[in-house]
Amino acid sequence: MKTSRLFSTIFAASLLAGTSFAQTTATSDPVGFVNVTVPANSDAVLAVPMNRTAAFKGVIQSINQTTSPVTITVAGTSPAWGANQFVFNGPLDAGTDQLNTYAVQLASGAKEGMIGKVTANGGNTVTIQLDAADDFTGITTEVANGTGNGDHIDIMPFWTPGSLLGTTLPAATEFLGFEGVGAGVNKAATKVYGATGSSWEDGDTSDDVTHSPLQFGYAFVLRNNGGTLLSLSFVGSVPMSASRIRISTLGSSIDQDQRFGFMSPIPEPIISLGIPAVAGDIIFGFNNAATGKNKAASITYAYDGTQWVNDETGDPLTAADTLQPGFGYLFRKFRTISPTSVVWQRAPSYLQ
Amino acid sequence: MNFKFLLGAAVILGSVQISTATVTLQFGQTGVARATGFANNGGTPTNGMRWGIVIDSAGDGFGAGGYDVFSQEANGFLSIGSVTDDDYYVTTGLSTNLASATGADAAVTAGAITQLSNILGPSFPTSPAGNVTASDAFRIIWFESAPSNGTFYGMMGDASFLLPADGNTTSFASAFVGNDPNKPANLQFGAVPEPSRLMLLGIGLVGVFARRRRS
Repeated sequence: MKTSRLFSTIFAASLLAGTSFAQTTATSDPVGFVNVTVPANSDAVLAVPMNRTAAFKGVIQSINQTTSPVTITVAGTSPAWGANQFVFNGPLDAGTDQLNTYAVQLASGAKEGMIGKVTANGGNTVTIQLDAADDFTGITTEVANGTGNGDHIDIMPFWTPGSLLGTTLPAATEFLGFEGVGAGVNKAATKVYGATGSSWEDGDTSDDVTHSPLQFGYAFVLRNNGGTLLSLSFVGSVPMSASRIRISTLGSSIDQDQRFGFMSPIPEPIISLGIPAVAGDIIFGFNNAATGKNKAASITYAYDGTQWVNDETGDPLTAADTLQPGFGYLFRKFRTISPTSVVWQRAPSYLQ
Repeated sequence: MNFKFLLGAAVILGSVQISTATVTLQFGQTGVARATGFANNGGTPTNGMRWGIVIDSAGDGFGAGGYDVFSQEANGFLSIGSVTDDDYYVTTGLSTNLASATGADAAVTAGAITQLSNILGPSFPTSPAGNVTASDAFRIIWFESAPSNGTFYGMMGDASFLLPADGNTTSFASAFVGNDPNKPANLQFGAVPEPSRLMLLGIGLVGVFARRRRS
């Protein structure tokens, strides 16, 4: 599969204008797109390379606590949000539906890239649910750390099957998700969504999942069960902050597979990504241009304790060995005596 | 909007003892077909029946009609006549339900298996005979009620029902294309052994009687 990129800067001027984040702002991140194709009757391992457009960018005035759920009060003039306007509320009836599920992403500071799901909001507050291993320790606020020192946040919608892939893919096209696969390796999909031609449905419940949130940082498989090549574009806001991916082992003395994608619209050299690897860690890449379903990895990168090497040749990787935008990968974390995790926090190369 | 959709059962398959793996088996798929018509002993498609799959781990066929009762809640090798067999049962923890079928299956409103589940269980079943491996044949099994002596169950197979390799998500929906016939649960746990087994038993008894008459 060929992937073409356009690191568009349509709105770059507004981003670079230096508008203060301490206020409710109207700034936009630059937008771009990544084109992907999936051969007929084949799988492609994909990942989201960009964000959805932020609904709010601002600064943390204060937080109520460091453990989840955290309520953030934003700095500056109250944005006067409607009660729970960032909480999914639909589908009910036309006019009252709020079909987005929102996330708060830390856009600066020690835990830049951390994501929390919005569970409630007030006029200038937003309450978020953090992943089990995350907390707000070390987060700076205007109140605690002085004016101008609060960490920045973005409030943005999660991607959904509908917003990422559209609703008009041919019926029988499938989205295979791998969130929460459990301990071990060679894990099959935990979510199988099917395109109906006008929506997406969950195989578990037959529910409409067109607007169900997709977790940040995970790769997925798009399965083209039709006889013609699928072409689609991922269109979104170019990430202007670091990504933060937690790489975990979930069992005792068991290698762990975790499908992931790096949030960037351009190729990113693996050797420059600061991946917190240990000897025995492996990254599998897949040839999305090859035909077939349930395809084996086409390339294997291994960490030997000091550097990443091509597992077939043994050659150290160079800057030419990259993670491709829009592609998904499989990280096989080397086993640990007991479940543990490390945080991979890295800004795209164009922000370095 | 109701569309034909998928069902899956995830089955744990181990590649080595230090790891676990899963496969996802889809028995229905949007735009292809869905599995319906799983029925009770009377041939009526029924909701709420527990179902799973049985894997022929040794390639010697299935003991349909001869299985002893077993726990429908736990994975494990089955037995026939109190002798452990090499057929491995995998529970889905799911039950047949109301179909939302369209097209050729529109008239079928019950006895569908539409769920997707990630099943945890033994990662590497190696005993008493054979290993559960890719390409092993399997059948869908469903129970009228929790297994006990005399409980009816059904089994359904298809030439396409072969376990994929670890990590794969594979659709078997094509086996259900068209008008799904009702599939009655017409086998019984702890029932009369198969004719071939009866014949063996008969031969054995003849031998016993012959020995007694001589003595």
